[in-house]
Amino acid sequence: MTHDAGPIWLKLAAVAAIAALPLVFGGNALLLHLAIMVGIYYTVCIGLSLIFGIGGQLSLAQAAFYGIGAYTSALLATKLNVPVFLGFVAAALVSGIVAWILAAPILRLRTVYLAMATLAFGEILVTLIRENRQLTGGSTGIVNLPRPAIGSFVFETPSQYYYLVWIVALAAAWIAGNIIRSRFGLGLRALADAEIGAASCGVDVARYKTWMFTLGAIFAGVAGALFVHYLSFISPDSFSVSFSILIVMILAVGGRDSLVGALFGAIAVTVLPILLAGYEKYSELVFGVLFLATVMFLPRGLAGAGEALLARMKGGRRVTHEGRDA
Amino acid sequence: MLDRWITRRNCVLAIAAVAAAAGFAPAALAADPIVIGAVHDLTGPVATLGQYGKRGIDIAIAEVNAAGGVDGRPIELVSLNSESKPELAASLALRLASRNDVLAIIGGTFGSTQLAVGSIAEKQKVPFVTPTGVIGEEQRTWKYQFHTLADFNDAAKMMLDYAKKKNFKRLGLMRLEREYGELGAKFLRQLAPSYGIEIVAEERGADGDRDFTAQLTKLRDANPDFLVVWFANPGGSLVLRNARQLGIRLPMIGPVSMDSSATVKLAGPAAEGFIVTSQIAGSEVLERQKAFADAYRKAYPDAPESNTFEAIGYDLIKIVVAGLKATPQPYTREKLRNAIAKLNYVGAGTVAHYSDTKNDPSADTIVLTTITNGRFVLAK
Amino acid sequence: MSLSAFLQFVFSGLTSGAVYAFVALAFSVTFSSSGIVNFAQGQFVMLGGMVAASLHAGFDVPVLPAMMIGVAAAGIAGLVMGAGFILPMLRLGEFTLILITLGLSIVFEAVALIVWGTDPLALSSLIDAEPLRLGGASLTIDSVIIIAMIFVTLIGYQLFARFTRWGRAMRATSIDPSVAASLGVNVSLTIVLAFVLSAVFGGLAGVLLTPLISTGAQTGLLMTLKGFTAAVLGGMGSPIGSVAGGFLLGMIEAMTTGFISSTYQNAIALTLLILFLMVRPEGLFTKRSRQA
Repeated sequence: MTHDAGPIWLKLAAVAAIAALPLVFGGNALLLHLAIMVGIYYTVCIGLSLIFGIGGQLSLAQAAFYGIGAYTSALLATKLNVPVFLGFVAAALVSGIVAWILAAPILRLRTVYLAMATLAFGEILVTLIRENRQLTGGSTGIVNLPRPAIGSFVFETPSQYYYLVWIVALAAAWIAGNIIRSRFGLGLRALADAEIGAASCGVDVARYKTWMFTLGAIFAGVAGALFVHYLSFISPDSFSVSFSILIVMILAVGGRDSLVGALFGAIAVTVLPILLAGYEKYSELVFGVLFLATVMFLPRGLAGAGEALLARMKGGRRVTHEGRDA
Repeated sequence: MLDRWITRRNCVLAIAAVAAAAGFAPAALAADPIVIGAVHDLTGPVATLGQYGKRGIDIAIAEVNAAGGVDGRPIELVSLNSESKPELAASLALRLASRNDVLAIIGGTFGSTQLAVGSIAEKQKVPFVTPTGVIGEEQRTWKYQFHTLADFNDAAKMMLDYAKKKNFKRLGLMRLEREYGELGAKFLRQLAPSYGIEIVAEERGADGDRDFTAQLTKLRDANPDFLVVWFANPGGSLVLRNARQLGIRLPMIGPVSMDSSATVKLAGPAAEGFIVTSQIAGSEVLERQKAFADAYRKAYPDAPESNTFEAIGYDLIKIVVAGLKATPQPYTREKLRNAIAKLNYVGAGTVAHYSDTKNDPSADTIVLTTITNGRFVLAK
Repeated sequence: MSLSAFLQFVFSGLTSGAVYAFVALAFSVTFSSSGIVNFAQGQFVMLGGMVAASLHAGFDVPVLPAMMIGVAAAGIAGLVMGAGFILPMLRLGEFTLILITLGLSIVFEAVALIVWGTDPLALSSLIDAEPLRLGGASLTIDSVIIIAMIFVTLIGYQLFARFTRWGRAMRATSIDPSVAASLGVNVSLTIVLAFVLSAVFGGLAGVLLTPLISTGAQTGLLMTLKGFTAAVLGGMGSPIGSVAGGFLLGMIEAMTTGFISSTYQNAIALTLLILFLMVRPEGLFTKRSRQA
């Protein structure tokens, strides 16, 4: 598995490109909007990378935690006038705590049963949101959510919001990258490779599972809060199971065992439907065929394909199992 | 693993496939067309209304272009599919708004996509004509958005007027769970007391539900005089069928979303006598609707009677064209918006007197219809 | 609450339950042979129903032959899927295979939308008769047929699994593919067979439910979710468990709608599901699995 994003200059170049984007394309409203959405989806997907890509557990609850974070922050801001940034912190806390409590019973389940239970949790949550009309505004939701601010500086324009989203996304990537390379991460990887073996070597399987599930949920929760304060509108539609499936698709297209892959996946899945929309009623068919072709012919996703291509260009050096040559 | 699959050639092929797929349709050949953008829900949960609307849109464009376009310039439609997804609809609206040649946007067939496109249009200052009604009070103040579907409050009044005329006192409400049904229920609850009508029971169902016998049994046991079925298809038609199966013979009334050939096809004999707050009666068109009805009959000879969403699809284009004709050259979005905001438009599915304070049709746009022998006729 | 109302809720639960049971059974058949959760499962329901309904409406094919062609069409789709998409990709592992079924589900639906448009299609009843009236409640003949057919199908499948060579091969593969292979079972063929059978079950559900509730190009995903829920509730891989899970889910939904509100039918069914999973992590009706 390859968890290393590559040489340090490549990472710096990527960060520089992300930082420069609004300066170069600031006038293009569509591009900035897409870049913001990619950043938000990327953050959710990094969370799923930890849960599934590394830990091997297919959770369909990312939409639920995205929703928990979003509603926590939106309700605090509109009902109690809590500053939005504090709301973001609360979003992280609440989604983390819920995930931590949920982890104990749910993570005992395996494969399909885990997928079903996490999916069920999300659906129950959406019903609760829709039916608590007094608090959440029901299906109609809540409008006019405020933008976050530091002192008198408000993250108002798309460019400003873009930086906020990408600081969070890169921080999430950095945290996840460090976890993956840490002793803790080695434990996680052992877990994915052989649960029983890991357990017999003294790795506390349940504890690792719980922590990565919690951390993944925190990333989703913060992303959800960022999302609704960007739209300045919240309704339960955005947090249904189809969003969880979308995140799984991003991971699959990008490559499930690489953080860079998640980024490629987020870009592809966000941008492609917009490019294809002109095909009118054929657009979903084209998207479906492209998705199918990707999972069939590039089973390690765009990241895996890119890596293999890069290795070939370097002169046939094979990428080793650990993802490090030289 | 399968690294051998990933040859350089495979990657190049994959990239070429994506690039080919992402290419856009070639631009129309005619010089300097007038470009209108469309974000419709052509697939996804509300695709039915989106696709019927598209029929009317296409007929109107063909008609305008056959008559020499506007000021000798043909109309070109950039038609995009939102898949009924609000986030995608918002991005597509931005894609259209960031094209300088797009003068107006049309589309958004249900609450969420309409809100998404509408809020982008508002911020980007692009006139937006939509085949929906006002779904939130804040929309009444939006400057760039123009509705063609009657206010749901007016539709609720129309239903209660009819009930009062028939001397019904006890209303049983069967409604959609989502916001559209919530909206209808809100208006009916507010208005019913002033008509001397009591809502004796309210039951709900989701878009995906396929069996409503349990809800209808409860409604029947509350002993109403009539039912309001505030639903969309296919659920609404299944409600009618289930009611018949249970032997419920009460008069039933539904909103404009039930004005669709699907109601007749799906509910069959169970649809007979169903009353709908339509905006056109397919088999008894009014004078103002004749031109559209003739064109529609020629385009779809197998099913020649149009319903509301086809008719207002036609109106979307006609409203933009009427606006352009009242706009001094050279056209800009701002000037077009100002022209539409002064229109007195009397069309196929819509009668609207737009102004700076009213961006939706007048109440007389509603035509009460009933299904008789599988056709929509004017209700007496 | 009157007795007739209660009886009506029971009928409602049995009818939806039978539909869910078909899809859950289909899930179980592919799951036990290949370990794959087929996200395109509901699309076979859609396909069977749409083919039958459009043949009947568009080409005046009588209802029964139209239904048979509908089931056959679903079976062929299952064959193409099993042999063309699953078998060659088997080595790629469970996750990739599930994603392939998800991709196929999107493609199926998109093609159906293009071929049949967005309007759902209705189909006449197999037997044209007034609904049965029992204790003040009513039950349509179509409901009776679909409820009867799920039991016929279940019994037929059990007999097939126990007493035919291919059935026994499928059971052997579900217990341990490598042992089955070493005993001379053609594992690839059994997997394809499982996909065909599961598609036929889906198609059967589709043609039988279309006279009741109509079918649209977008029915598939919903059926996948309901059938999956039912299968997990009863126990993935257990035929009897899946059918029981289907009826249980239908009953929970109908009773929730009847006694509480339809809005909570999903939430309550899924809460019960989670609770059941806590007690029996591998489904209500399965024997403790060998790996647990």
